[in-house]
Amino acid sequence: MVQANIHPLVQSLYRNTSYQFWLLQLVGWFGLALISFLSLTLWYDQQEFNYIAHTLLQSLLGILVAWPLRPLFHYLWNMRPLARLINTALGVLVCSGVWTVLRISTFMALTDEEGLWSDFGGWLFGSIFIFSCWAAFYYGIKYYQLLQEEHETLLKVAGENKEEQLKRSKAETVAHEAQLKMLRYQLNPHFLFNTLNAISALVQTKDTDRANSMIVQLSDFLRYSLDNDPIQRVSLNEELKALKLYLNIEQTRFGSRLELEFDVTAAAEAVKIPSLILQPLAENAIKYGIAPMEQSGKITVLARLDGDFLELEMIDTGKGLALSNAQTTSEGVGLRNTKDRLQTFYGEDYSFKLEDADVPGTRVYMRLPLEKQVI
Amino acid sequence: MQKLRTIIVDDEPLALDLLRSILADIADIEIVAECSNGREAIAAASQLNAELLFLDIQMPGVNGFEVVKALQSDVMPMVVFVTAFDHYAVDAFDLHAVDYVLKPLDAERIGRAVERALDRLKSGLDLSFKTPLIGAINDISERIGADNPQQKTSDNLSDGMKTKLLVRDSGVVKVIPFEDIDWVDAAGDYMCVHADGETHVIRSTLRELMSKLDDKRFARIHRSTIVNIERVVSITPLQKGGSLLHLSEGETLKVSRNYRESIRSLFQ
Repeated sequence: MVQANIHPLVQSLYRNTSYQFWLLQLVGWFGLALISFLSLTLWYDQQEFNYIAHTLLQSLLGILVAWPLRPLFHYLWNMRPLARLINTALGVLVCSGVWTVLRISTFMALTDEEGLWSDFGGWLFGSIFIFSCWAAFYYGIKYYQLLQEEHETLLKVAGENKEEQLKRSKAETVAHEAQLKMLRYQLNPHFLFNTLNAISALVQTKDTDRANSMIVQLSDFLRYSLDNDPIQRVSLNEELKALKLYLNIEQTRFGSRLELEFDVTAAAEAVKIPSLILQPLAENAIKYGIAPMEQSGKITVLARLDGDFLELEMIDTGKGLALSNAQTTSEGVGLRNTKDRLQTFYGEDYSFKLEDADVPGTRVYMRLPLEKQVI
Repeated sequence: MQKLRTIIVDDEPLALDLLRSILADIADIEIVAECSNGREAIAAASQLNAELLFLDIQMPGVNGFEVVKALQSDVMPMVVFVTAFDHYAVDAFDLHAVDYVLKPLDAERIGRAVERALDRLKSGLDLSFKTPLIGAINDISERIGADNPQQKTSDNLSDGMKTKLLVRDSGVVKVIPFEDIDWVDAAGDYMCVHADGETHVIRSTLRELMSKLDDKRFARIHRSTIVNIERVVSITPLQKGGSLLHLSEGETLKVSRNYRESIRSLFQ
């Protein structure tokens, strides 16, 4: 990765392969000149200016001769390996030949030495070696750059993927919570206004104790249903307290028409459940079970543990499903909301049944896992 | 000044207490019956010759709307609906000028409803009180039934359909043979067809319907009421020349003095 504090020139060098090529050319060829000077020139004790000049000149000629190799290799890049190898070797041979001719002729011109053409083979051998090295470097560096590039792209893609995944899981959580909020219990305005009317009646008839107790119960129930975070869990005990507030209010309204029974084991009371999950069921039991009947009815709430599951039951003594219209076109918004909330909380690990009770009436049965939670 | 004979109806005992208590402070009101469901309300209204009915809508068994539909329009008292929360209904009531009060009840608001009833009575206008009520109820059931696929009632009856009536109830068309009709009463542009213990509301006029019905079986007994005479099980004569017909389904209908001759001839 490119770091931000690197000098701009180095940065452009890093990015621009053309700059890199020319830098390497200069370093390579003048490195060769240096080696040539240190070995051959010193070895043969040719310290005159002309010999040293030739050492430099042959490097300059090398740069010129190697110049066309770059576009040629670039052109060969996309050929099949064998074709590339052959063409590369040809290129190397031709350049080596040209360079050798140039080197010998300039050497002879500068130093007045003669008869060097007979040594052409030796000079050519050195040339071929150098241009082969040139080609090897060229391809090596090119492959290295390609690898680097691919590596970077890979890293970038991986980074993007990770970010994407993070975004997605965050979005999923938000959607999840929004769904739960949407499915939260909605206070039934009909219940509220009828209850206020009943309280008004108690005040009007100077039954202050009952009026007061109704107001307190209604306030507690409102607090519970309004304060409650739909994502939070509460103990069954707390949930039942709120449910009793509601059902006691309904009992005051309906008078002798409503009877209540609770049968909850102590172990079940401690279990955590989604808040206000029983409330819509109780409202349905009142609306479809108790309210439509002229004679009195009963609502029974049962809770017990069964292994790793909590079993909840709510039974009313109404007319049952077929006659109560609870199931006809829509099964009631409250019931569907309860099911959707259970689904969001427990995935597929719960069961929910709505059926006719043994005695005429409706029975809701829920079986919820104790520990498992999706969020 | 004669007091308004009033019936109050609510299934919640406390709501009934409150209504009674508020009305007790109004001098023009005399409560003649308290009912805790629609069935009792129908019985009381058709026997007690009441002038005003405070009627809760949500009740077990027969609800407030069904009470109105079941009552004979010629003896229909003025109705003030009592409701807790129902924006469908409130819209429809406003549209058809039907009086209603909201729970929790406001004594002042009830006072105004009583005044309005007295004004209507004093104005002496010969209006059917059932007409606006049925208009509103029909509106509400249409709005609620709007979710259900509506089927169009065909007006062109085939020959076989000439002795049957088509009625539409919340999107479902029912076929009612004429002989199943117990009695019919008119409320403005609507007809309430009472058959098999149910009341169906159709758009028609009394004259239109009379022309279809067999005049050997159906007789007019009041300005807006037709009865299937085969359903009549007993007759109670009244002092001023009218009478009461008791039907096999348990209903009681009032016969106006003006129509007693036609009844007499049918039974001869």
